[in-house]
Amino acid sequence: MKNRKLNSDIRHCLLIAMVACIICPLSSCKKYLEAKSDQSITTPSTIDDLEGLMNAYSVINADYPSAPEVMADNFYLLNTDYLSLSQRQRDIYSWTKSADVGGDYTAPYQAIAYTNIVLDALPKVTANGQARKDAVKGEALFTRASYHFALAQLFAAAYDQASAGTDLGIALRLTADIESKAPRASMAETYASITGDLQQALTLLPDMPAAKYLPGRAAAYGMLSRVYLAMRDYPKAGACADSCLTLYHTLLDYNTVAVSATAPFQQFNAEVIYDARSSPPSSLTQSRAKIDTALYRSYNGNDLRKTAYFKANADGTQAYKGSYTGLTNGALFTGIATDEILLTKAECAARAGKNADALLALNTLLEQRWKKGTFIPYTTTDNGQLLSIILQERRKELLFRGVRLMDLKRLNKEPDYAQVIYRKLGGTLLTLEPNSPRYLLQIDQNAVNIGGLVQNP
Amino acid sequence: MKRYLLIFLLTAGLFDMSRLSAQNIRPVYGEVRGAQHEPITGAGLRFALSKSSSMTDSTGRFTIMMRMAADTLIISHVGYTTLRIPLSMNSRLPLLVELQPYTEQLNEVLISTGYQEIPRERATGSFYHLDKELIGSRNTPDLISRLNGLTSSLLVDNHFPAQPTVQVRGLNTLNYANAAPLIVLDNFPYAGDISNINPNDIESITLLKDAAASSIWGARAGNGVIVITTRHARRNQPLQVSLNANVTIAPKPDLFSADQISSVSLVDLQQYLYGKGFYNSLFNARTRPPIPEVAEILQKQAAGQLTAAQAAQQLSVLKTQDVRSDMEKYLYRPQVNQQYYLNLSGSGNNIRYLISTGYDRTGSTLKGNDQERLTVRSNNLIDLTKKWQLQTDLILTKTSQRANSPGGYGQITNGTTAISPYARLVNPDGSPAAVDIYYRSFYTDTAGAGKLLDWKYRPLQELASNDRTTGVTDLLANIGSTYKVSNWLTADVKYQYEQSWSDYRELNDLNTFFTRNYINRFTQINGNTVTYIVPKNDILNGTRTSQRTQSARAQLTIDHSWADSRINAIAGGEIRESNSDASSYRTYGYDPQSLTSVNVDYTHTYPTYGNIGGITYLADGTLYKQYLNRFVSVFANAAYTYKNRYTLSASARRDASNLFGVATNQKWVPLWSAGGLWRIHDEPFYHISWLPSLNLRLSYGVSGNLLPNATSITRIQYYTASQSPINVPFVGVAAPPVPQLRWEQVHSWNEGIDFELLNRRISGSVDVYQKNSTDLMNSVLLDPTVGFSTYNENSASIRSHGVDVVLNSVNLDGALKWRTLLLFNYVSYKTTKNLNPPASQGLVSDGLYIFPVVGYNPYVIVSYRWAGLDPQTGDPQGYVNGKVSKDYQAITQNPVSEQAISGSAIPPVFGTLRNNLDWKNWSLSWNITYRFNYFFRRPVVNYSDLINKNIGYSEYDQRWQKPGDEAFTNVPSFVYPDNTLRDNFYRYAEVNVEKADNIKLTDLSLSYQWAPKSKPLGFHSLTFTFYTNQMNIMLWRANKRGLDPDIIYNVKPPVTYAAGIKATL
Repeated sequence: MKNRKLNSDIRHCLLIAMVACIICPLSSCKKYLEAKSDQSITTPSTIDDLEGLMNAYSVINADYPSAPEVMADNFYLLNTDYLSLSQRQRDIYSWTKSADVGGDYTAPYQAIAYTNIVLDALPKVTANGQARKDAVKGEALFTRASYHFALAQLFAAAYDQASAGTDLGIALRLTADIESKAPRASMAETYASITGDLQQALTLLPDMPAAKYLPGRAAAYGMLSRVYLAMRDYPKAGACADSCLTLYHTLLDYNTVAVSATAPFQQFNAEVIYDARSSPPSSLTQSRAKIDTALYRSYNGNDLRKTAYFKANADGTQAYKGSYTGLTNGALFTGIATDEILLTKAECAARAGKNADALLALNTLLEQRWKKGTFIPYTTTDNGQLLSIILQERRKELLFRGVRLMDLKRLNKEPDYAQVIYRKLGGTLLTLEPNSPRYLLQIDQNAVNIGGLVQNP
Repeated sequence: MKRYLLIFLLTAGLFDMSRLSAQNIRPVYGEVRGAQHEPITGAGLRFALSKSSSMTDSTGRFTIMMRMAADTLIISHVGYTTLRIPLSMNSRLPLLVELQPYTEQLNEVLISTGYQEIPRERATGSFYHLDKELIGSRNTPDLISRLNGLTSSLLVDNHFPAQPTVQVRGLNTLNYANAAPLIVLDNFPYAGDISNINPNDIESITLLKDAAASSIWGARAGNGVIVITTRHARRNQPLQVSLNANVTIAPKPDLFSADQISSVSLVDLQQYLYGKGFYNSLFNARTRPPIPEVAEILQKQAAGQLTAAQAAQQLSVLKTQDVRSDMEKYLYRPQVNQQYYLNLSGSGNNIRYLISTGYDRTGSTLKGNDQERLTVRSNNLIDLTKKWQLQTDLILTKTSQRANSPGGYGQITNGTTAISPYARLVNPDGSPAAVDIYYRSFYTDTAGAGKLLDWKYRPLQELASNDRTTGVTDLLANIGSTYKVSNWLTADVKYQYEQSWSDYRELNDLNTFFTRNYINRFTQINGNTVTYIVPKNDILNGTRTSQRTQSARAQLTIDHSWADSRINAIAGGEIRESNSDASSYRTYGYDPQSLTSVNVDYTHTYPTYGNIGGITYLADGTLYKQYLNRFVSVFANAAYTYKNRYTLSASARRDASNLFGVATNQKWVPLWSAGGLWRIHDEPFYHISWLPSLNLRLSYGVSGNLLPNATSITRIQYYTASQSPINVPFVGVAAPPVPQLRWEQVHSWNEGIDFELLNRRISGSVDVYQKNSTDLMNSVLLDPTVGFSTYNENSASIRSHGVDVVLNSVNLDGALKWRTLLLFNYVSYKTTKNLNPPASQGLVSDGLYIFPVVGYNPYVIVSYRWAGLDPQTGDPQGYVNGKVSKDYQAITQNPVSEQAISGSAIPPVFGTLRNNLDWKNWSLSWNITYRFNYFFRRPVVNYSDLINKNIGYSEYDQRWQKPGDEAFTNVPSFVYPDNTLRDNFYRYAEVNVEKADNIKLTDLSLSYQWAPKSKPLGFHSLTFTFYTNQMNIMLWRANKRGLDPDIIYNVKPPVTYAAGIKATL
């Protein structure tokens, strides 16, 4: 009897111990509860995480705005095609104030947020050797500057040295903290931030990276030369172009390219220094966007670009097919390539009165664009004529690259090159005057309402 | 039992006389025994009026002083049914009392919370109990449709018919995916698919409505809790065998019940659009998009391939075709469901057992789709010693599903382009016809000049070739042990293991469009050389998931009574882990005969044929996912009852989970509740004879709701190379950080009364409640300049209040028995706080999705005010600043205060009237449901959808065409080019909102029970039942258009008819 009592006491104790075991040791709970709930979800804490973020091609490389080309004068739409577009695309094409700019505003800022997440996390990340951290930091700075620059082309006026201190620039996002506010900076601050980020990137990036979707110093110099060009700081633009070309200067010889192919150029081809693109807007599909007739006619029959860049539609109009994205869906190549840098170099040299340097750069490029043996190098000694030729060749080489709007805007500041551009739509003629506020898109409505940003006129 | 009856008769007979004598005191003595004549120790005795009390001794004997001439002796003991014996001074002594064990067969209801079973008479919380009879009143294979309409305060929201959601007492969260109540199967939250549970295995279902009832489930109880109790083996029961079989038949649905633009109008419209050049950009588009047949015919005519007469003739043929007739004929069939269920249960000396098996074959009205389910269950209770019990339960479910239909009405689309309303599925020669929803037929006719595979999409060929199956095996094992430490203390340990495997397999052979299309897209033709980048064989796709959940619980239960007091308490801890793995694969060049496949190159891009899809990588279908959820909880619940009249209860629980990852600060959330119950009718002063039972309940508590997708820090996610356009693995930002993250909390008050009146012919309860749900996660619009357009934070609140009424009545109690159950529910809720309100300007909504605007129901329907059609142009007109306007851009900026607000799209008033008639062996029951005071937005013609996606409604024919039409129509004129803003204005105009109120007869069942005395065939009884479900017969509706507000967006589901037989051996 006593034994049984003892037994049952032991049993009681065991049971109570079991209960206690489960309830009490909450100290070990902490570890138990720190297990990740989704193995593929984590927080940015390792160098791999940050490199992975910079490898998010769709966000980091492929989300540049397409509006700069849709607003520019390299193509036109038939009225029927125009009417089949969404309201937003119609408004952008027809230089109408659109309340809803959509992805052309939000996507660049998303990419900038990625770079800020990387930049904010970097100091806490440990890596073997500084090189990987430096490279990621350089990539993030380069990307942040590039997108800020792309935004400045659409949402701010052309840079004007005289009034940059007071002209309205864009909102500069320099932190990942979503609670911090960033009002629109002045043009001077905007461009100082962009050039500052790029200058800092130059100190961190390798000369040429492992893959062309990552930026290197060549890309950073290339982007800087583009930025200084937009600022009409021609000496600096020229110097950066030179530095870029010192690091990388390969050109594609179009004689070796299957120019009549549907898509003659590969992504990451030899001429590409940094690969980037826009999303494909419905207004730029091959079936809709017709190449400006005068522009098309300006290509010589021996100019291989005439075949490489264009294909004839059934109705005799021309469609564009020469994108360095390797795609034919209307996405713009917005990255850096040797041809653009050579043209910048040529322009800056001409503007500095160095005609020989300018001619050399221009002829070097065109040599590779014409059928072997047909190109007669330019030899003009007239500086003004030379600049016009360079600007014309710039337009012919860099169409559907997202730089035309920038060129129009900066040249509109120079009476000699300012021009009115036109659109014909079902019998009405639309005009866009130089320096018109319609060169600027409207700031996103939520940014105005919630963020309190100043709206464009 | 006989003895007790005798006592009852004797005492009842003497009752009146005894009233005459007064002020006598007399000892009453006797014995209390159980059903097996065992003495019952510690049974409580008390007189209802004089309040004197006593207890039985160890031999079951008692003595109690009777102080009034006539009084009622109340005898109660745990586990036994409380007995009330009216006594007089002359009652014969000794009193021999037999107490019946407490089982559900008696009228006592035990309410299960998943942690403990509480007798209803001592429950302070608000519960609703569904017994077997109610659950069995329909024979649908799934549980949700059986609960619908038969459960107090539960609303099944059918806005998205494929995914009905359940609301208990309104909405407590703004997160649609997390608004469902917690489902508890026996003791543990059920992680599997609710459709795995065979309704025949269910004994009862309890809905835990208020905080006192549900807060024991802590952070998961915020949306209410549904506790499912399966059938268990019973003590002292000889072997019982029952067999169910039934067959359900549903005719083909009537596709013509769906509204659609007429073929004549559509052909005319497309002809007009062709003339305007609408299709011009499509004819040469690189992607070869589908072009309406009308435009193709006209294009051929323009190219001289057809004469005007031929073209006109072809167009007139199209006008006579309606895709619905072909669909009904070739894609649909009558549905047949079969259901078989066998149950054996019994008990031996120390063991109770139940074995059941069920087989369900659920057809579909869509050809090619069906589902089979096999369930096997074994439940055992073993008494190891007198004090130690072991419970085991094993449920094995195997389901297999085929989904080979290419889709029914409205489902055959390529994502944007729907099948044309004048398409046909069969050619005149009877062969499957091609429909253009992927590419232009003009292109696929000739592309590749014979060197490509056939490139047409034919729905009927898909139906014949599709091979898509899902197999699910689910194993649920429970093992538990209960040890009675002493009379009042029990220790329980329970462990549950659930493993389920699901295997989806999709074999796309060369007959399927998927495979032919994929191969063609990557085929390279160079002269006569054809290179297949994608191997010319089958493509096998699949997804395997497995889920494993383990839970363990240790719990102490106290049930102790002394003198007038009684304590019932539990305390324990629980740990739970659920793991799931998913992997997807794709195999190219699969040969089902030799079981071989071919490697493909995922690392290079390839041009697509004719540049139709640009230049891309081959899709690598490999994907791995792994999830792990962990919970640790401690809980306690105690109830103290004094004199069987007053009960106070309190419960507390703390939960922790790894769902928040690093945000440890929020992990331990204490949730609690308190409640009280007052059984007024047991008070000595209570003498309302027509209201013999009256209880008052009051409770308050806090429960929680957790959202798995929130985090207080930036969350990133890894992607595989195949998800990148450049074939490089990368990381994406899954969610921006939410610095102030907290769990959602639901604070609720409940006041309730339970009553029985008029000789207990009417019984019921009324509950009034108020809830305040705070810290609700809500998407907040951000300035997109920060990089994200929205993010989720604890920013909103909902306040709700409501009333639940349950009324049971026995209207006739003679040979013809007529019983009625009336459920009435009212719940009203509105958003009271929204930190960062969605731009209040331009708000319009359908009430389909949660849209939290402060001051309104989250499912509110908001519309543009309507100023009629412009008499000159037929343009729809609204208001801007109080003036009639056609500036649609400006109208979209109108503040909410200038919009028309209709009310909720979810009924705040709803309920059911259920009637049962029993006559001899016949039994008839039917359910009528009502839903009041809600609204719906009628789908209307949207010209943009009509011209771009082939989606249109018959009201197109009523559009404004000439001045004067505005007098009898609200449908705007058709304009080209299309104006999306104008379309949207009309879509969201107030004229398209209708009152949804309705009363419906939903289902009916008739059964006949045959219980021969002599058991000629070995049966105890045979029950034949005839059911009709999904009747949806409108007895009344508020809208004048004849629409059923619950199925406006779909084809009306057909009425189902079922016949069943149940045999008990």
